[in-house]
Amino acid sequence: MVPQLYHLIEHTADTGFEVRGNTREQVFEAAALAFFHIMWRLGHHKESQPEIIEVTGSDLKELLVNFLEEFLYLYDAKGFICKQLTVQSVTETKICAKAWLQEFNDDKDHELLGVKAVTYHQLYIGEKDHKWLAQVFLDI
Amino acid sequence: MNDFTIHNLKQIDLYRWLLPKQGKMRTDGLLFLDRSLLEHIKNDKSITQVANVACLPGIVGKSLAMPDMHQGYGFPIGGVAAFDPDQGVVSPGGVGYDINCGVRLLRTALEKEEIATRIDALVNCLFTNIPSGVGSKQRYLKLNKQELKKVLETGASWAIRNGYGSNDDLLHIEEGGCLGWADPDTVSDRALDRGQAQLGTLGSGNHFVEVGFVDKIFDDKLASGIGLFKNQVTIIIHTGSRGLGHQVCGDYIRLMQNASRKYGIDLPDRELCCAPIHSPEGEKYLSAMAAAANFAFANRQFITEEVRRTFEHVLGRGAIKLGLELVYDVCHNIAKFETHEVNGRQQEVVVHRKGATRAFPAHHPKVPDAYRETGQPVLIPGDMGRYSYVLVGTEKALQETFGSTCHGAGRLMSRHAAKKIAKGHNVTAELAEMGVTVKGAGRATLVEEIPQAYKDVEDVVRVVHEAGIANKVARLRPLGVIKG
Repeated sequence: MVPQLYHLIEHTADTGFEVRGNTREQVFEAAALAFFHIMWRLGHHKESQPEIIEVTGSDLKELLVNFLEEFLYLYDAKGFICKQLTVQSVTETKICAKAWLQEFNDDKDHELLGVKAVTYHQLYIGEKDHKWLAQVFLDI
Repeated sequence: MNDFTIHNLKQIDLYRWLLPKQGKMRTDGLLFLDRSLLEHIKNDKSITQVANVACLPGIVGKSLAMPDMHQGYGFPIGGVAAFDPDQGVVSPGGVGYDINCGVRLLRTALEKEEIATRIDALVNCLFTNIPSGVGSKQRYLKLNKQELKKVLETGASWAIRNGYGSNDDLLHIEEGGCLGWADPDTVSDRALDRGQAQLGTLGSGNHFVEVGFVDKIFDDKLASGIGLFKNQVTIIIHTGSRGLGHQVCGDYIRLMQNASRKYGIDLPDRELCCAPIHSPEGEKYLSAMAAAANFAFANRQFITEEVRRTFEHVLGRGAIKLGLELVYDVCHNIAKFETHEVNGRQQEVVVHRKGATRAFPAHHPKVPDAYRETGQPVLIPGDMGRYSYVLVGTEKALQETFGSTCHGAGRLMSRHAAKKIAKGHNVTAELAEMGVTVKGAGRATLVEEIPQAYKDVEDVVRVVHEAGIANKVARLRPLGVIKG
């Protein structure tokens, strides 16, 4: 079971979040779900077919930024939101996930926060005592 | 590097604080603040960020911070730094994600009484005509990529060629509304995808269009020099390069992570990733950044014309008769080649302004003819309930800050804290009581942007005026605001 809770970190002009997971896959999944939760409140959508999302990066930090940025791109350029997500595998440089995408629907979906970008500011991802932890700050 | 705090600062005078060069810093930091503004930043990392910027290779002069400084990503917001083109670097973190976020001011021939009964109609109509809010898109205007690239190459003049404004507007925009070294081919397909339907859209957060009036004149001669008079209706437009610019910044931060390693640049913070100005990576970023900046110039030009059409429609008079003219358009987040005096001689440098405004004095060759005698107009928006300022650039700014000054009020509260304070309040109704009609795309944005969430912009403006890095001309009060 993936822990879906996240901790919001807010300073004067910053918005960020912290997530945990038992595995690398879980922490990436939790980060994405937190990111979606901060950006959208979604209504009911019909079942859809999942799509495979593959993202690369030169290390785990870059991978995490690139992974979240992928969903920002899908939303901003294509109008897609993500209803459900399963991270299948994460290596040091590549992540593979199944994402259930839907078109944003003005009538039932709400945008909560305008995120400009996922930043490297105080970015953290790592393992401590067999638990994975990640911290991400967003440019609003 | 260790964190720097206010204890590392040496007070020079009432408004200047020196952060002496130490550790890996290559130069001093210089902060323009008074004691009360200093209080606001004592718990954030912005002083450390000033020191981090001072560590970057090829920095010329001091690492500067304007009085609205606060913690940013990489550079502090309010940070200004210039770099030698041959020895120095360019950093996307010195510009920010919203490339060429900026402000433009329009004046009218109207007095506020003339629109008193029409303000609600104006606000409603502006809100309908200018797509606002998170992910705002144009319903009927999606540019193909070929056309979008023309926007990226030519900036505001693209909008004018397509019927959005007049050539006269171009004379009243920083750099004439176009950075000539832009190269659309350095902008990724993803950035183009994000920009295709976003030209002429406001976006969210602190972006807005505000109808207001001149409520106070500080200097009659300067005010009349830039065409302002008491009770005159004005319009401020605040937005940037939208998703296209955000993607360009993200793309190049990715590229620069590797470039910093390649060129052996020791980074105090990953968000400060950078490359030598004349390296392939540096040149490519500058070309893409300029393209995104041009998109922002075109965006504000497009919205300007929507404002003109809305006023014409609601007030039933032509824009020329309404005197809806562009006063000036300034960039807040930008890196540019400029010529400045360094160690007694004129030198080309790359000035990064991140949450700072160019403030060139009278008779500077880059200041348009219309403002030759006054200096370049500088527009400092405040929060949506209080006031904004019009300033002009000064000789002292040119000497001390590479011709730069502050850009706004800066947040006082986190978004969460603002929400907590606003709980149970009807923000729209309370602003209406203050005489401000507000229409926002979402309640969330309105609540996060309540006036109490911001510092009083007057405190910031007082410091730049007293320190001499801009002169106060006029104060504007809002009557109606559309928020993203």
